[in-house]
Amino acid sequence: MHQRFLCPADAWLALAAAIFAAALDYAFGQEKNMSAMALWVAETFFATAFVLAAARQFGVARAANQTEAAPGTSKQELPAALPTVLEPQHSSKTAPSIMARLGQEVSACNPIIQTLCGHVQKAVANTEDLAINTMHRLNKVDSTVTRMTSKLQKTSREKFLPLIEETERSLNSNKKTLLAFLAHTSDAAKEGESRLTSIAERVHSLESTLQSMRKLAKHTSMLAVDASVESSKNGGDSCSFAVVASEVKALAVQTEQAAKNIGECLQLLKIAIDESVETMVVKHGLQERAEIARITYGMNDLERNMSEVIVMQRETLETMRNESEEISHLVVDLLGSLQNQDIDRQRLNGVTQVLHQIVDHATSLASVMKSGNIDAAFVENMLAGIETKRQYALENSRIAHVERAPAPAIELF
Amino acid sequence: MAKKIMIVDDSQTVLMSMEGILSKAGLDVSKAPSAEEALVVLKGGRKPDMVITDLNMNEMNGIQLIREIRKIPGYQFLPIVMLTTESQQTKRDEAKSAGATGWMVKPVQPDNMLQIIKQLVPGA
Repeated sequence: MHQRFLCPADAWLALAAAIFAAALDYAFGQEKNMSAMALWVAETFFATAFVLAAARQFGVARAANQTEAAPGTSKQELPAALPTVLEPQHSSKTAPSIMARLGQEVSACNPIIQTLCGHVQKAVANTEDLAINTMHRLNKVDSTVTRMTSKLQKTSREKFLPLIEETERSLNSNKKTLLAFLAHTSDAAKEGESRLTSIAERVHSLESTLQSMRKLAKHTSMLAVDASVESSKNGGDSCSFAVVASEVKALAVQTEQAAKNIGECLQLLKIAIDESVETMVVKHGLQERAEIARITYGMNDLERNMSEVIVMQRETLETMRNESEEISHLVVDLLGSLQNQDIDRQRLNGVTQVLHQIVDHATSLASVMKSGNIDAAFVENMLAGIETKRQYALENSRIAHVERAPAPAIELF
Repeated sequence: MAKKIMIVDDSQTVLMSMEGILSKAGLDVSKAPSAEEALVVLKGGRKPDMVITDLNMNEMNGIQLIREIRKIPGYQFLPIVMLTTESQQTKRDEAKSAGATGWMVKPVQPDNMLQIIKQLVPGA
């Protein structure tokens, strides 16, 4: 009787269970490729364990047959590939119970995996909602910025610039008016000055006339004196002559007085004219010129400021246009980056499919383990299924974008 | 007149994303959430200037869609480009055999995609 060591089939089963658990870990951690590989390894170990267990069963049956057929045959003649320990009694009692227990453990994982699948699908749905909401908000931001920029441009084009141009035209017109007024005022002042000068000249000529009057009065007075003297010389016959002489003298005196009065008036008139010229031409003219000069300077400043405002307005609009384009570009980039949500969606869907496959496979394995009904056909089917799963895992890796082929991302055929 | 681009994808995220990118570039965008709906539109006479389609969709996939489009009279030379997560050369070759004009792997940069459209659609 061989000494019983740990049954290799059981060891293979234990290893397979451990690897299966690792596959689940990878699946949970979304390491899909590792999950698929671990699944493949676990299934290989399961298959090996089943093959060994089946072989053991077969070997036990054959050993029993050989013992019955040839009582003298030694147990060392059994195939070398069979496990070291062949204790039919122990094997037949412990292996099914271990397998049944493993089957139960495997079954217990199924609800967990199903729950995980649900969480994954929920996460996919949530990310899709988030992506859609993000896109709505991005579009809203972009349209708001575009609308704002358009409104500013429209306001600038339709209201601000025409207003500035109108104001510039008005300023130029007013400047021209002021300059014309200045010229007119200057002409008027000159005309006034010349008229006053003319008046002054006439006054001067009147003064000459006045001098003549004075001379005449003086001469008349002298004549009256002479007449008086002659009258006194001629006695009583010249009374009338004396009267005339006295009247002439009186006239001369009056004339002199009148000339004196006229002279005083003329002097006052001269003073008034001079003051008028002083006031009208010099003072008022200078004041007007100074006022007009101030107004002109103010208008020039206004014109300069408006030019600066126009430049600033244009620069601001240009900046706003550039910034708006930049925002638009960023929005487009963000929209493009949301493609990653679709990639992750497909990846997670692939993980869910693999998990469902694991559940299906584990369910069938558990069922067989619990029943203990292992036969060669089942093992053969399972081996064939392993290859299918491996291909499936590779297919999902491709779809899930985990492995990139060394090809250009964009290609025109 | 704006050039018309049809986007075919079962992902609403991708449809909205592409619509946003292309409409901002001044293109007229129509969307189809499945290959079947795309065929209904195309057979109805509303011919776009270019079709961009995903590969992996439910029911009919992108390669089957291309084959069906090429059967429609007048659509033999319509530019049809794949926009997909696929990265295997075999799938590329299959798409090319089916009649695809080009192949873009997600995520594709908006500028690159617009460049392709500009190359394939004169006046875009």
